[in-house]
Amino acid sequence: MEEKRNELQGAGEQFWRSLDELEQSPEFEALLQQEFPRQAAPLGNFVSRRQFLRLMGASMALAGLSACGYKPQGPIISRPKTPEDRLTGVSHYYATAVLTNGYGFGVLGRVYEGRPVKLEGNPDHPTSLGATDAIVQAQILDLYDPDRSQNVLRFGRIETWRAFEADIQNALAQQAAKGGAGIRILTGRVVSPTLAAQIRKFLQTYPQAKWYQYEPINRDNVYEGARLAFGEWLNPIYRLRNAKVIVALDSDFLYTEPGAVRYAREFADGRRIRDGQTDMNRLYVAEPMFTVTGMSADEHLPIRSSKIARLLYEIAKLLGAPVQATVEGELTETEQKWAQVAAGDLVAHRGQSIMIVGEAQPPAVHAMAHAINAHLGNLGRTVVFTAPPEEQPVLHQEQIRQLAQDLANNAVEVLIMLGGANPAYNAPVDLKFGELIPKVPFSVHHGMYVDETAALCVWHLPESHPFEAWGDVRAFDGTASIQQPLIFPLYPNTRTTLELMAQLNGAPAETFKLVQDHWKQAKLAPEAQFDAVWRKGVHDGVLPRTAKPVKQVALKQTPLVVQSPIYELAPVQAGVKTYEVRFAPDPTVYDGRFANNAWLQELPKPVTRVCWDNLAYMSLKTFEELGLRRKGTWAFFEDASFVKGDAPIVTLSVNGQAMRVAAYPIPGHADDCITLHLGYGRTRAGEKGSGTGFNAYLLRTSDAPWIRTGVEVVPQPERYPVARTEEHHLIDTRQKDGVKLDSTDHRPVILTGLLEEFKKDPELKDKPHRKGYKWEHPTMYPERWQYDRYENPDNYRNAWAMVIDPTVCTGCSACVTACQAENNIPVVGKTEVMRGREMLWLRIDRYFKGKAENPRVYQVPVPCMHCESAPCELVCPVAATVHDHEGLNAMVYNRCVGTRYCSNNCPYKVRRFNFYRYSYMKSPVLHLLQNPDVTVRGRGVMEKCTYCVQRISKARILAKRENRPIRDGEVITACQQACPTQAIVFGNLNDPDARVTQLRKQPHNFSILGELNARPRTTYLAKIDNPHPELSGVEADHATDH
Amino acid sequence: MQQTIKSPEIKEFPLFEGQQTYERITDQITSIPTDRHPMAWTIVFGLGLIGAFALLMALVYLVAVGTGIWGINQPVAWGFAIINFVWWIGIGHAGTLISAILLLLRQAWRMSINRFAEAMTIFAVMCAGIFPLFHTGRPWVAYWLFPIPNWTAMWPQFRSPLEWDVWAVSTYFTVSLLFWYMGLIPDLAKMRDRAKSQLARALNGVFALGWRNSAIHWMRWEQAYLLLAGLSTPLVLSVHSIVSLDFAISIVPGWHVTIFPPYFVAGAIFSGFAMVLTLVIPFRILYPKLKDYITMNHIDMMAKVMLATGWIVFYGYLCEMFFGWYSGNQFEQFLVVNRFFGPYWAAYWALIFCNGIVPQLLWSPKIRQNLLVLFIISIIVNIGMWFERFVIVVMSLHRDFFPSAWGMYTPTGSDWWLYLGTIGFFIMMMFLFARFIPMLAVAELKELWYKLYHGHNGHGGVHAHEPKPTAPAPQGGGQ
Repeated sequence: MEEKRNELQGAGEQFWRSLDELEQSPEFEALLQQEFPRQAAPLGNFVSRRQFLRLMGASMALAGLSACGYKPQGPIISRPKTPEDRLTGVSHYYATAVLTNGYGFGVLGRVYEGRPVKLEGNPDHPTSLGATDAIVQAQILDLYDPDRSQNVLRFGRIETWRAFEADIQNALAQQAAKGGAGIRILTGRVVSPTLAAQIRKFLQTYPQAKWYQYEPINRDNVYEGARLAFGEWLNPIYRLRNAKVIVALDSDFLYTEPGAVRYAREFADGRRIRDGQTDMNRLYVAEPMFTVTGMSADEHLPIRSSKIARLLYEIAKLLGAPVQATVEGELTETEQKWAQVAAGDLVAHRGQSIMIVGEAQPPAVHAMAHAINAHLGNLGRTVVFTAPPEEQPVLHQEQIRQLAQDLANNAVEVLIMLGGANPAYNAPVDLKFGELIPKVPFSVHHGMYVDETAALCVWHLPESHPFEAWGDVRAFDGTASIQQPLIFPLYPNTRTTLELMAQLNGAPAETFKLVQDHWKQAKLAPEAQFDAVWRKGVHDGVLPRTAKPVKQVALKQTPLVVQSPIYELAPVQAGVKTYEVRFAPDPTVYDGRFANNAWLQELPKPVTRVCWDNLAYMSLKTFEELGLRRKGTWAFFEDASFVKGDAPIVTLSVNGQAMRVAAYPIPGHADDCITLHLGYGRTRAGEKGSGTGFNAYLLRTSDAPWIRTGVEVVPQPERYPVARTEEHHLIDTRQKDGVKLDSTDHRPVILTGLLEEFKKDPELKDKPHRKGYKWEHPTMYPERWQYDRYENPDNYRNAWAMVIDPTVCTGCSACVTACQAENNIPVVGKTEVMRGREMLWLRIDRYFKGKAENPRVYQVPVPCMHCESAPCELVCPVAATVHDHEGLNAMVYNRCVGTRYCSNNCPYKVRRFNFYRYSYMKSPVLHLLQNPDVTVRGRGVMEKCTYCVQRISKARILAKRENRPIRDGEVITACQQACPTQAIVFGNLNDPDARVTQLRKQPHNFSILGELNARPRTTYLAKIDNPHPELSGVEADHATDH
Repeated sequence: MQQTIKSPEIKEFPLFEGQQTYERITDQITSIPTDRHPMAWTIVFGLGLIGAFALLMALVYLVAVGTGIWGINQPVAWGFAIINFVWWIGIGHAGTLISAILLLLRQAWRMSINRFAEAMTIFAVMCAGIFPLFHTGRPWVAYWLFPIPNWTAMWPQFRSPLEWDVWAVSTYFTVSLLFWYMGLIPDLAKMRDRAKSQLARALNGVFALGWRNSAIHWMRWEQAYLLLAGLSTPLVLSVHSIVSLDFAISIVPGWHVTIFPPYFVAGAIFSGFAMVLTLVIPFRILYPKLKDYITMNHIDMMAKVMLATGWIVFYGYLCEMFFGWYSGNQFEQFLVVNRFFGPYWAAYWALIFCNGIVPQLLWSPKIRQNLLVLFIISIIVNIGMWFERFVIVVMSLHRDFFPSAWGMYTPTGSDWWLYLGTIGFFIMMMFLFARFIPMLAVAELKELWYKLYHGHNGHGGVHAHEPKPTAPAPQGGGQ
């Protein structure tokens, strides 16, 4: 005993957890050996086989009882008759809204027996216009994510809400004395009026408390730019329908910026080329790496982000716009020329042009663009300004810095992080949030996942999905929508931010009441009419007259004097060249919040066709300059190259911050800079998102959130496997013996032309392989196709067909995810994608044409072609793929034995095979997600696009009941419905007035690989570009090939 | 009923060696199964057995988990399974050709190798048959390829070449098995009579179907044998033609080739003879008694057949190149270029080397007499023929019409596992065959002996058509 005491005294300053540990007793060591001492103890060593069996038997018997957790809450009443509108298997739509790109987005949720399975755009909503983007489509999967947090946690251990309530009441009571001086609330961007009201109410109770908002992808630069130009924070809204010339500088307004879906529609409406309708807008895009916007550009210019200011100033000077700026640096000849042509085009279209600058550009650049728009008379025509739609507009970068400061000063005693705020992951790295949060004595994290921040907090509170409760959001133009719940909460322990705030305010209430009361108070409508207006607003998904009014603005000074920050590449010092890094939101997982969404992870990124990863994208020249090399993946054995992969790892470092990332060359990237997508490298995203990709936030600091210069790049010996759904042909092209191995120009894959050519010859007769795109070859055989040709109306049959217009397709991939959601398409994971087994029925092919430095990009969505003379049908030994009477190439899953010959013989390679049981769902909650109208396919069968045959059936049943033919537009395929640009048209060829029939009669309608005579029912319109004749007006065909 | 064959060549290159008598022929061949077997037999058989078990496990794993364990993927939906299927079917062809066509062509030299080659055919077709069955996504419903009457009135889709395949291969296997068994009956009776153990006597007795060596037995046997030979003859041509149609019917560039049927048949015979050589050369060493019957003359003949069929195959390759160029079709042209210089160029040049260049060594009579070199050449040809199928299956699929859908194919460990498993199974079966069944057709050899050397060694053979020249009486053998 004496010894022990001496030992204890000698322990001095060591940390210890218990006396046993300090004593190093053998019992404690034995306990440490067992991972779970508590569970292991009762079994111990004394359980005999007999006893074990007895225990097993008892637990088996009890297992049945444990299912009886539900206790009836009162007498239940059966329905002798089902209400009229409740039919099993018949879906209902409910208007609600989700957040996308940080703002509200109106959707219609399709609900079967109380479970939502699919989202469609809300045609009445200004952001959606009936379409969606991929992220919106995938949000339904988040609802059913098995990794969602389901329990209140205190230091990682399950606790009750009651315990939390008691704890926080204590903490708040202590703070009340000081007026809440130690309280900080952190939220994302709050666009919910009701929530903002609740937070304000809280701040009234605790006047010293502070509320911060932080979004890693924010509009700081946009608002600051407006303040520089007009003196106040304003939100620009583009009216692209009125624009004939659009110049976008480092802006992805068609994809990642707020309002993108609407803009895509307006942009597309300005370039639908038909015979006799050749009015087409022209899009100029200058950016470091291709974005969805850049791929649609008529004139694309790869340029470093930091040079955009210089380029814009050049244009301003050429236009004579009232701008005085301090910008330095020289433009190259190409850039100079581009600026001249763009300026010329802008001048020629005064009032019908628009200059758009991206969120990543500094405020001064935005201000210059405003001055140019003002100079061109575009204000009020193609661009209008409203007050910011946020409830409390802030500078997010500033806010997070202040919070960090408060934390560092130990001024924070109660930190409440709401709505999935995750600063431990996405705050600027220099603020070191990971170290600051644990300093707070009472920290609360509220979110749908136990994420990086939750792990550092005392309390974690599970958040409900927006589809599980009432709420409201504002869209990018301020239009408010009520979020209706689509489903009873899946997990009873979850609460929305609104509920939580109401509770902190001491007035817990149902979300419905909170939201409705707020709008009553906000005088949505006069008292008497409120109910009617509310009902209509909830039904439509849009509250009337809530959009922010357009403000008349004027430049606050002429000429506008701005100071642009100067980014220049650091000169090469001591032989070390530094590079510029541009951060960008990831095209699918955005800022990381969707990292655990398997649909978005597996969706090939629109530009790169890479899934499950972000990489350091750079130009081929920079890639080679760094001494990097890609490696082929072929081998007879599964050797290292497959496992290790083909992308070389590099380290990026600047000022002590460093990250490892796999480098990848991409055509059309500007030299000397690297694009990093945010949102990857998460450690606690959930089962799917954790450990994918590389964390770009590690380089992102509070003073350089978008563009970081002076980054040193050091190649590493390791390699990284990349899953991509398309080979990078342009880069892989080898030229041997003068034969270009894999040029698409040698194949009738996509018919392209310039607007000028189309005007002269709408059939584009002189184009290479023009004949190859047709299947109407002269033949002596009688017409074999008898199925759905009809001569008299009695024999009326539908002949389904689809026409896709690549000219307006932006490649945003909304259709792909919509197809996945509609058709229960499973996710296969990164390794399987690497093997080439992705299951997506609809893919978007992307071709580059021209030089690798700045190619032209072509996007072709490829569903099943539903060939009339289908090669797949001939070779199936069991007739599992056959034609139906309306021209559909049907796939009979039950009959398929899985020889895969159909896939081999399909020239379009649109068939997908279940190599494993991909549809297996580990968690039963995912069963709720499945669309009941579509078979879930088992292992070993082939599947493919069905033209959404379930939707056709539904329309057919309805039409039969009403004894009429199916109307044009009555059947809308999932891809068509989601398409923001309406590039996909589906319908009945036997209806001479149908839109699809009209489009097929267009002179520039063509069939991919038409010469194979498979007679596809899916046809395409030629992709028409509208380049400026002085710039790249020469078709790339002639420039690069032959 | 067969005519005496006497050609100067046969005198120069004897089909028998050593001092032969009817008794000696019977003794030498039928004693092999009852002799003590060399240690090498045990070792190689053991390896084969391990392989066969590996095959079993590979199949269990495959059925349990799915075809995803292989390297196949979206553009390349057929991989090792189809390559190996065609390869094994091709190997089987030598047996049928030797037994049927050479029988009808009255090639005397076929007698000493036909039993051996036919056994090889049967085991190779067994190996081959595993692949198309198990490569399906749902092998448990693969029986739907047979027209089984059912209440849904669903029939197979008879336009599909895979359906033809089912018929071609199953017919081929059935006829080959019957043919082989038919030839075995008199020899099994001999084994029965000479059996040392009761069990061997009983089993051989059952399978000998009560053969009593009567003249009427011999007459019926001869008739049946010839009929089956006639039936087998078209099969030699049909099976691999049909297999080739699996590809030729499709529209895939590189598959859609009209030359495929003859080119496949020639390739099959080429690889079949290579496999016979691969087996015969070590077996001669393992069982020296065989040397008297499988003489250097036989080996020389087989090498010559390989040389000839090798040229047909090589002509096929040249034709494909020519077609690619002459078609004027961008897809066909690309195919040829992609074979030469695409990512799988190594497989294509390996094929040209193995099947085009190496067999030219066989022009030299010295090499045809050098067993070691011949053995190596035969192995190289087997590898080359495997590459040929790889080139056809994988290289055509991986880059076809639509560049965006191109991909690569990398076989996995499971692919190799199953392939090596079938090789193990094949070896096991061959060694079991050597252990229990007379490897050469005793009756036919004696008949040949009688016909060839009747006049020379003093046996008073007045009855040239007497088909029973053996000296020992049937019942004498057993005592």
